[in-house]
Amino acid sequence: MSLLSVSNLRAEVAGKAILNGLNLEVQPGEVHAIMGPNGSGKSTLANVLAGRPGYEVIDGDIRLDGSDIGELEPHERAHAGVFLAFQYPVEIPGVSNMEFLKASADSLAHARGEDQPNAAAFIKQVRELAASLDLNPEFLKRGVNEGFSGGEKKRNEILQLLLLNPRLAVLDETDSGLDIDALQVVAEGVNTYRGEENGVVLITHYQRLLDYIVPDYVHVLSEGRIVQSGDKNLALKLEEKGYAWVT
Amino acid sequence: MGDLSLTALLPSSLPSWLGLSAAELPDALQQSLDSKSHRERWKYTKPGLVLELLETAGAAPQWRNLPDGVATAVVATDSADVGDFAPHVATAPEAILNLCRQQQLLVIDVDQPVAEPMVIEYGESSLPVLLRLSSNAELTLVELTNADVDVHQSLWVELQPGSHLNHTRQAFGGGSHWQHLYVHQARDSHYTLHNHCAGAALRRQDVHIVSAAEGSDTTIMSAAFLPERTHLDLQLTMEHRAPRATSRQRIHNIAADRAKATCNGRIHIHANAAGVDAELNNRNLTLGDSAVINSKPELEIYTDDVKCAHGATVGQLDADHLFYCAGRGIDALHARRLLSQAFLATCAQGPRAEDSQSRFAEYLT
Repeated sequence: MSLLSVSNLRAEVAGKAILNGLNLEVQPGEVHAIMGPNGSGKSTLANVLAGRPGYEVIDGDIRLDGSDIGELEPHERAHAGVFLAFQYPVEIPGVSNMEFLKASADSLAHARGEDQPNAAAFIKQVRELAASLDLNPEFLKRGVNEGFSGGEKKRNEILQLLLLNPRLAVLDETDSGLDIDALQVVAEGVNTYRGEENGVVLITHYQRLLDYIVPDYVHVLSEGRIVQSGDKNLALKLEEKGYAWVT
Repeated sequence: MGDLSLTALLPSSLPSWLGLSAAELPDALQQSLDSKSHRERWKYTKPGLVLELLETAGAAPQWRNLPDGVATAVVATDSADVGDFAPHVATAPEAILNLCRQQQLLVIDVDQPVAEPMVIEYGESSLPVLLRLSSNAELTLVELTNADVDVHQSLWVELQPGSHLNHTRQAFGGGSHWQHLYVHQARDSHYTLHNHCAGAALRRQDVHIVSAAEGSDTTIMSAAFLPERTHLDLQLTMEHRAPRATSRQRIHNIAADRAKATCNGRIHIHANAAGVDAELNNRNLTLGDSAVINSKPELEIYTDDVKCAHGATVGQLDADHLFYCAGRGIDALHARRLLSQAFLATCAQGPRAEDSQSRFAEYLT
């Protein structure tokens, strides 16, 4: 059974059709890179998978481990195992990062029928993860993403990914706005997360991220559907020839 | 309001600083009460309700502690030592009426830096309080009005040059409550107000800060949660009479259900107050379809050489914030609670902040 199965997905935003019959199968342990020109529907796919309000599914199925999640609320999808690393993580002044992470971990534990994480062990784990991502532990006391640079926000997303360890990670242009050092740190975090029990949908504009996170499959999205698929060499060809070559 | 009571409320003998006879004062007060500016300030609270509150007898508030360097005394309102309140007949007639009626006030004098906070509990007490900080004196004052009783309070503050007052007001009682606060700041004095409260059957807060000499610094941080059908009417006046002073005001209110929150924040910069740097920001959230918010920032500026900014927003919780929480598994109810608490915590700072934030959290649970 596929970890993620998307079939004939049609979706629109504000009445405009963006996804036009998209199909995608992700097996456990696989990393699928989604590439494509601006406006091809990459971020819409990410938001539709996460259930963002305003992104309306007109037709098609989204299944996670065989269960239809298309009608679930966003927090229910997170409980089911979907994690969206945001392209533009929001700042939430007044809610400390640590408080937010604990609230998230508690909610997910509750949904799984597990005990809430022990507070002391949880704090220790978060601090270790922050250190591994070159995030100053002092940031954990500040408001969620408050005053963070673009790179720090993206690393904070990866910290959440590693902490919450979801079934499916959807990374929406996680590489945008990162310098080469930060890109390597983020990529290392994703590679740490990557395993036989989970899957990754990696949305990116550029091939350079794929030097560090080697995908099993590369798909090219155009006008809301996948028009070409291949292995990592497809990304190299796209880098060389541009999207016009396939769209 | 008619003449409810002005004559009935007034005693036969009046403080000499008024310069008015018992026969003249009712007319002077009525003129003030009927003025256009007064009507505007009392647009969202019936003034008669506050005048009714004044009918209760005044009792001295209790303090939990009397730190070294702080002296207290109950003195006659007519005492030469308390100063001249006559100019306030036109701007704060209710407070003057209260001063005349009570005939006494509690005077608190601070003449040195005081490390230990002074905590006053009002209960049913309503005697006016005059707080005076000498030059370079420092005090942290905490006022608690958390009993479910009908009560009124007026606090008059004089800050001498170089003095510092860090002031928290916590008002979570559920009765009818009127608070009047007047602060007069001398050169290089520093005043910070942390105002934490909940809506009540009636909660009216009049705050008038006067920056009277250059170099003064004023900060007002206010956080309020209004549940059910409660009321809050916060009237702020920041008056800059002198140059090169700064003021910052940040007010966050949440009105739930059918509550009604009003914030009228006025910055008045006089012609001779060049170089003033003043800001006021009032943000409001509604958590119910029937909640009412009235927000009115006002600028009255008579000189060009100033920096002055004001803003007001009314809205609901940010949809992007809610989705971000949902994306991490936090359901809508929990996310609303988390985000509302954060909105208030931004302004619920200073002494007693943790206690106030816990009270807000209880309302949101």
